[in-house]
Amino acid sequence: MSDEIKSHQVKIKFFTKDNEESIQLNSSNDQALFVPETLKRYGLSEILNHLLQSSTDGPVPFDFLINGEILRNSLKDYLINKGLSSEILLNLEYKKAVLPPTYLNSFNNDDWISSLDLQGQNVLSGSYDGIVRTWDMSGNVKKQYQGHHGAVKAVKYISDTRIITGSLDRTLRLWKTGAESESLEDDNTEEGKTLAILEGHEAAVVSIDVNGNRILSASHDNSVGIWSTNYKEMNIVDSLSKQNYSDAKGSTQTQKRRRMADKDGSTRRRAPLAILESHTAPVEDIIFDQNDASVAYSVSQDHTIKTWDLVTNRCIDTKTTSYALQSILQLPELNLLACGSSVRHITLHDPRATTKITNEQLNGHKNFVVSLARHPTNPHMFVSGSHDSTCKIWDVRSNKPLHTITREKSTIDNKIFAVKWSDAINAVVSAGEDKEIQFNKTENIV
Amino acid sequence: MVSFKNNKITSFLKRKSSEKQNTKTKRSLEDVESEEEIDEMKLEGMIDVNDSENEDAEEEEEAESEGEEAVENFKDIDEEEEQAEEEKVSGSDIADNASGTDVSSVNEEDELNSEDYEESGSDVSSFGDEDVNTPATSIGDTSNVESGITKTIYSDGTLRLIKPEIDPVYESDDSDFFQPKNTIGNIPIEVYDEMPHIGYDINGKRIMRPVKGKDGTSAIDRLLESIDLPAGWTGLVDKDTGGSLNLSNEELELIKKVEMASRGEVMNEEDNEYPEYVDWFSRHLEVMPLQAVPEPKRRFVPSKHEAVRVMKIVKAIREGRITTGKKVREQLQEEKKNYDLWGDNQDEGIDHIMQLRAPKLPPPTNEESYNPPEEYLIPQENKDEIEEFKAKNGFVPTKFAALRKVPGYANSVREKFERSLDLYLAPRVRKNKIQIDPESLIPDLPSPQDLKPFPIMTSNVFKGHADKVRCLDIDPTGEWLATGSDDGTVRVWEILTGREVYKTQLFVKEDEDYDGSKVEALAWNPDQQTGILAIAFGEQLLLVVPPVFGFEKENNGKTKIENGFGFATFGNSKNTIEGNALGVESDENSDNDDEDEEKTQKHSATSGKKKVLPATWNKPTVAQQEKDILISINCQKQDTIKKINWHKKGDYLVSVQPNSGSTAILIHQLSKHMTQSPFGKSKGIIMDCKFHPFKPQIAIATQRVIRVYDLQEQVLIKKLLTGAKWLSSIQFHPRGGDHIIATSFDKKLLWHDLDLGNLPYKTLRYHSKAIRQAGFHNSLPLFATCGDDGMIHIFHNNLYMNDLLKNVLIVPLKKLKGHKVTNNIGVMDICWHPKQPWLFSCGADGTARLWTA
Repeated sequence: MSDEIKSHQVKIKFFTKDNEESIQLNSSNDQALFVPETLKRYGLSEILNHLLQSSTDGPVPFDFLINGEILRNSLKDYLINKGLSSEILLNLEYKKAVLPPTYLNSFNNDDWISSLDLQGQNVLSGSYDGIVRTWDMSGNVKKQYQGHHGAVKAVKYISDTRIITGSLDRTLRLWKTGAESESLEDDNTEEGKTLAILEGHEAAVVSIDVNGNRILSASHDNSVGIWSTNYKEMNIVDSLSKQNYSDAKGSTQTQKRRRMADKDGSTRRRAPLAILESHTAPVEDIIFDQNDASVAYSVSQDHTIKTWDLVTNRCIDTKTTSYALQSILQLPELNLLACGSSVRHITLHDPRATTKITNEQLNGHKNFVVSLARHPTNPHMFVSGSHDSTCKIWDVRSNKPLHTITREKSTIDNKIFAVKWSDAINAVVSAGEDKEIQFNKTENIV
Repeated sequence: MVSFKNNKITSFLKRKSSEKQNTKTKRSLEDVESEEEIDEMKLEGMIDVNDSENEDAEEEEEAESEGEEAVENFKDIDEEEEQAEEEKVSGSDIADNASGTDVSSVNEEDELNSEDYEESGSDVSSFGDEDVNTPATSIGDTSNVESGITKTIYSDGTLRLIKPEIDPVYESDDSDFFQPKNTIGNIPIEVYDEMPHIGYDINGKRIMRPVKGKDGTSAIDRLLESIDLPAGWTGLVDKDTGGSLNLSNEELELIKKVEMASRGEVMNEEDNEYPEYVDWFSRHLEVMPLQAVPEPKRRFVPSKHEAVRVMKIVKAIREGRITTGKKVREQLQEEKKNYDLWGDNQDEGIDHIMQLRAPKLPPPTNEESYNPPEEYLIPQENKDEIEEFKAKNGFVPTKFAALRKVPGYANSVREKFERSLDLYLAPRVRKNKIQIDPESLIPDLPSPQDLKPFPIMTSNVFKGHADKVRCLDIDPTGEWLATGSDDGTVRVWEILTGREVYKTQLFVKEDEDYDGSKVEALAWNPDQQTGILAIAFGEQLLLVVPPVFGFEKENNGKTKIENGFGFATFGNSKNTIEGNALGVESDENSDNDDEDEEKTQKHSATSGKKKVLPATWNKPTVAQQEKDILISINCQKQDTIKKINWHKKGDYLVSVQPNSGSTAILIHQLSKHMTQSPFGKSKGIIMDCKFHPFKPQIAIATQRVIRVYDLQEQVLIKKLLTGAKWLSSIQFHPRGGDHIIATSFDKKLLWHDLDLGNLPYKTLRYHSKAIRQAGFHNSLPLFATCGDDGMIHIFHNNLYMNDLLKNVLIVPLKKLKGHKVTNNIGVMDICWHPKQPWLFSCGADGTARLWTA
């Protein structure tokens, strides 16, 4: 009697959008069936495996979606939350479950790593010791780029042979990378060569994005700089050493410092194509729109998301939230902007909507969300890095994280500053205060 | 109706009179016996008419015949012989009877109804009409009987005559219609108002309206009628005549009778409902009294009994047993005044019917006596009985030799005394317990949820210092946090990542020549374009530009510091010559600076006495240069600078050396490398000193008092009595200005509104240990306090700047716990991010923390 009351049945029907042959239901199985409403993901997955009878290589774990929302609890909880009757037919979309990421390995660096970029098998890292490094997959530093006077805060590949870096010393540097073969043969790391020093920001450069031949930089001087990948396009700035003698105003110590800076005296110095000033607080992150190279989005501590038109160099839209923002990521297939905030959550915004501020909040982090990276192919998934020393894998269809990646070789309180999702090895690459570049394999995410 | 009655009455009266005439004629006939024929006729008629009488007579005859033989004969004759004989006999009999019964019969006839009379009347008349002279008419001969009379036989065989109904002809004297009668029936009389007539009589003739109308005479008549009403006036209009309807007294009486009859009352004409009362026995002396008894003796002899009673009263009055009303009242008053507390106030309070006296206790019984008779005592042997008695009555009868041997006696007097004492000393005031809902005492504060954002959690821990972090400050751009620690370092941190970007080691404790100076205070120059950090290190004030800002800003700051050197040397050289110093200062700084007058005045005052400057501005030594020190200001007094505060324009810096007496407070001017001591007299131990955020004022906190001075007028504006025993710091509200919060080592937070007198507007005790620092947020309505209990308290404050009538609202928002208490020292300093709702704190645990929303 009591069992009957407890186990109400729900009518469900499975379907999938996946094209993989092995997980298609044949027509004999493709029928509505009654299951107890207390079933959760695991139970449903068992039923589905039974229906599929693909016992060749063991059961396949599945995730289930109802109306585009990932089922996180039992069917009953879903029905109660949505206020639905238990007599309706639930269409359950199934897809192969995202398995928890598995730890691959870590590369050890000398200092905090502030930024990462990936290109194929190469990992580019910027560090607080002011050195930019290129790593291969075996953990060797292939190249070193020394030149910044402060911590490197942003690194980005422009092409195979060019990288751009931004630093706490208020400059960006355009580097040329040498041929890779040489460095592999020698055991010595090769020094990169600075093509040009890009000056123009008055405070730390914290974020860089590259699209085509344009570079965008976000700086704590409340501005966004537009640069070119070709230094010839930009105006020449007189080096400090040249100013040095003409300008008699410097204080005694300044003069000393200038002499030290003369090392870079021979390097080209370039001015920005444009400086975009509209933010009222330090700009924390900037990205190009992936569909339209003339549009950029920036987030700032002044609580706003600004949309820039790079043709006219104007801010065309400002969305104001109620908290300082730290990072931004575009999900172009969904027309969403994911923004990491200082109040521990990730918000999803539609850049097209001018009035509506927040679509959804993804809660789970316990500190600033400072880095976001999307899955190379899956339009719904991205990974976030936070100061709470975790990375979390998100599916926008669920407002809770799918998986959490913790630091392997560390104790507590090791902030993550950068996270990337590698296409080549299908792994989450993260780095931070613990001086480690950590790789976590993420399988079967399509 | 009335008229109808009238008719009836008249006819009734008429009939009566005719009857009387009839009886008269009878009597005359009896008297005159000679006229036999007429007599016989009449008798015969009598017999015929009065059947019933006849029968009665026959019965009488039968009764008589029992004793007489003649009766038989008579019967025989009656059957066989002729009518004449029979007539004679019967006639004589009846004639005998008639003489005796004459009067009674008349009386009887009166009582008979009118129909009988009519019959008899008609009889008479019919006889009158007929030929009286036919005596030969026999009984059996019906043909001779007049027409209309039918003969029938009763059931017993006797003859019965039925006479026809009398048709009253018009001439008959009992006709009612003596006047015309209106025949309009139900038609209202008003219809005829326009007409000269008022209706039609039975013959269809008009009944004319009585003379009335417009001529004056009739109006006068009516007036007269209305003045004195004629007898029987009813105010009605007689429908038949059109005149007023008057009724006579008889008619009214009749109506009255009819009404009474209709109500079922029967009224005799003689009965008077209200007969006049005759007072036979009155006080008037009758000439012929109804009784003539002589008056008794007691009426005029004095009463002995009364004399006895009067004498009793007289005696009582004489003896004073009966008093007058006045005395009685006096006595009552006396009783009221002196209340007999111990009296048996049994009657008291029984002034209401619902008040019931408690039932009287039964008098004590023999068992209860202390000395009961033997028979009431229960012998000790039968314990069951004792128990039973005790259970029932609660005591056991016991015998004592004397009352004083009763166990309770010893204490009874004392007990009585104490009870009396209790009564005497007991307060007789009714205490009213005040019912206050404790909830209502809690002020109505807004919910902290509505006052977001405010810091709630640690986002960042700045780790690196090896010893307690004494002080911290955030640079005006909100990028860099500077902390000063007892480990001898001053460090600059990137706030978001917690990365230390700059460090300078001011001293090493292990050094031999270390004099125990500590970094006591830090302050960034409020000018965003300089990046100058002022460090209070012992009695030195060091200015540093940390290399984190980039060339331009750093150079700007450095040049600003170094620019003063030329002036300072110039000033120094002049300073030995008094007058020039004054002149230069006034020349150079006559624009808008607040302290000019102050300074010149001080200089003129002090320079006369001593030519020692309160502080010297020194170029950094080589060792100092390595520590990035750009200038060091060495104060004269060997006393640690505890607090420093920049003026908002970034040119003036005030330093506090608590125990330096008159030079405890020094104001340093960056642009001229000048130091001045604004106060000539010691104010005591100075704990803190702050510039007003926008007015030329300065607030100085001694251990107990805060004084606010106007720098232009050089006067004391306000002296705030905090009530605290030992203040630790003060803080101006950055936007409101005229609000100061002060913290004290005796756990108090005091909010002073300068407009509200010199006592604290609010005193808050939230910390469990000494409070070290308080801080206002620059732009948000937040402030915070920190203390040695390791807690940081966040408060919301609303000054209601637009509403002058409202006082400040202070809402406690959050307790931030995170710093560890080390050596009884908790959080040592706090400061707010200039834009974000973020708070920085540093503590004795060697860390600084960033608290974010």
